[in-house]
Order: sequence, then structure tokens, then C-alpha cells
Amino acid sequence: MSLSISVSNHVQDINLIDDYYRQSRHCLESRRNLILGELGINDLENALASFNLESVRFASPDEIRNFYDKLIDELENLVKLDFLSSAEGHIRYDFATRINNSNQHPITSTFSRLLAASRYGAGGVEFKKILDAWVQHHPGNTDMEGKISTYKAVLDLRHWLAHGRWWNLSSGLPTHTVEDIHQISNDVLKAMGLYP
Amino acid sequence: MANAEFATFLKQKKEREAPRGQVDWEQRKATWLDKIDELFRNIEAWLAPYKGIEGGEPLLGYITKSKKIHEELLGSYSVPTIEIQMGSEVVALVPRATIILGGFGRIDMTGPLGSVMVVLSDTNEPPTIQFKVLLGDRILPHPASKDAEPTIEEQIRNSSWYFVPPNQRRTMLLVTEKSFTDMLMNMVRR
Repeated sequence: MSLSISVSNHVQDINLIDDYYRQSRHCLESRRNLILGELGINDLENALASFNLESVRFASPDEIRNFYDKLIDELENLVKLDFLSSAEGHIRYDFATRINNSNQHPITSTFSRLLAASRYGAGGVEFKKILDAWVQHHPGNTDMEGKISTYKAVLDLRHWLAHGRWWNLSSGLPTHTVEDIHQISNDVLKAMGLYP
Repeated sequence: MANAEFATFLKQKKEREAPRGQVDWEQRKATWLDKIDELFRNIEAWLAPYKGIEGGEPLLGYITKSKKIHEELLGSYSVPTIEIQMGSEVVALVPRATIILGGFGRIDMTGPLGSVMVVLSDTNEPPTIQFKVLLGDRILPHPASKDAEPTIEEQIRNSSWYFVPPNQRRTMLLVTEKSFTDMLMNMVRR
């Protein structure tokens, strides 16, 4: 009797990540505009204290804009990683629950073989092999194949973001916007029927 | 006879309520330029003893120049700059802006070994949160405050210059002859 793969209920909803991004960005932009609007009028020290902006104390408007641009860039990078890893979470969750539930779709047999070959359990199964299994078991589904291919193409970005961005991406600096990554993540889950 | 306290109250009320378009930016700019001139005159006085010839060579030299800067609220205007020559190296003081977050203006001082901000401020204390209590449309004075609050112009005129390292913005060191020459030593190679 095989042991069940332990799964969590913390795989994140892609739409919540999108809401999080939009709200956070709006807050950053509002705060930037509020500070810029108050500059030169009065009570500057109070504004500074209220916003806990030690790193831009005595900054000019341009420097404050640059600071907030960097914060928004960072937010976008984190949200891109969140979208991509969340999509992976949904796909791996499906992998595990199919095996746990002895799902009758032929893909489950492939998943079980991948698990058996893994020295480190379900977490050690190479993600690209799970994606390849999806393509292999849905021949002729060009829509799914295309969406998976597009998603696989941005996994380099996902690794780069997840592991500290210390190397140069072979494709150069990422050009995908947050909206692009949201779309790619959404599309692959929808094509697989895993849309939350 | 006019009530001076009432006049001050009205002046401050007007200033507090002045929308951005009614702020006297020209006055703000003039006060800022006065404070730059005051600092640069002090610097020239502090450096004058080292400008003399010793063994045929001056110990240092300095030249003042002019540079155009642009601020959104003030437009383009000229500011004085100073370049201090020490041996083969130069330390430059270039005004950056008067409209900054948490101060009344900033000059950037840059040398071969780094840079420091020279900030015009009415305090060297970290920022604090202040609350104003409104009773009807009257702002209650803080129990500790005895005098009326100075206007912004008065605050700028009474402000001092402080060195602030860009990466330690809570550290404020009053600019004096001693601290200025110490800073110069730290900004060039020994």
C-alpha cells in the first residue's frame, strides 16, 4: 500500500494575487502622490514621520519618484513570482491528488511512474516532466500545448526571481509585464482545467 | 493700535490654508539662495587661511561657479557652486533643491571618496509625529508651546546646515569650520 502524498490547502488563488497587486500598487502610487503633493507646503517632518520614509528623508521630488518606481518594480517582480509559483502549485496539487485518489485518467499512471522514479518524493519530481506529461496525454489539443509551451518559456524568469536574480537571464532582462504573466498563468490553468 | 498677536495669527492661518498656487515660491527661492550664499561665504572664510602660499604652492584653491537647476515648483534658476581643489583632487558643492522631503533645501557635496548631503533644517532631531487639536475652527496650542509658530520663511532663515550621510539619514552633524574641514579630509585620498 502506497503512502498518500501530503498536500496543503494553501495554494493561492490567482485572482487574489491580481487583487493584491492592484491594491498594493494603488497604495504605493497614492502615497507617492500624497507626499509629492505636500512637498514645500508645511509640516514636512510630520509627513515624513507618519510615512516612516527614512530612506528618502531629504530627497528631491525626482528622487522620491525614482524611489517609488523602484518599489513598484519590486512589487511587480514579487507578484510575477507569485503568479508563476501559484500556477505551479495548482499543477503540482493536481499531480498529487490524482495519485492520492487513484484517478482513472491515463495521465495518473505517468504521474505515478514519475513519482516512483523520484528520489525525493513528489517535491522532487521535475516540474517540466509533469508539464510534458500533460502534453503527451492530450494529443491534438494544440490550445493546451501552446499554453503549456508559453508557460514553460517563462519558467526561467520564475527561477531567476525565486533564486535571487544573481545571474543574467539568457533572454536578457525580463520584458513580460505583470499583466502578461497573469495571463500566461491563467491561460495554462484554464487550458488544463485547473482554473480555481 | 494693531494687535500684533492677532496679526501673526492671521498670517499663520493664511499660510496654513494657502493652496499651493498661492504660496510665494519666489520668496521661498530668494530665502533659499540667501542661505546658500551665507554658507558659501562661511566656507570661503574657513578656507581662506589655507589659500596662502606655503613653500611656493597654495595648500588649496577654490572657485565659485554658477549652475542652472530646475525645480517643478520654482522653475529653472541659477545657483552658485563651489569647487575646492586639494592637490590633484576636487570636492564640489552643488545645490540640489529647496523642495525636499523633511528639510528646507539640500546641497550635495561630492569628492573622489564619496558624497554627503548638506541639508538646511530647523532641527537635528529625528522626525516626530505632531497632532493638532481642533476646537471648532481654532487650533489649540500645544501645552508646551509658549510662542506663536514661526512662518516657513522664518523657519528657513533660522535654520542651520547639517551634514547627512546618504545611507544614514538620521545622522545630522552641524556644519561648522571644524566639521567642514574634517569632512573635506574624509572626501579625498590621504
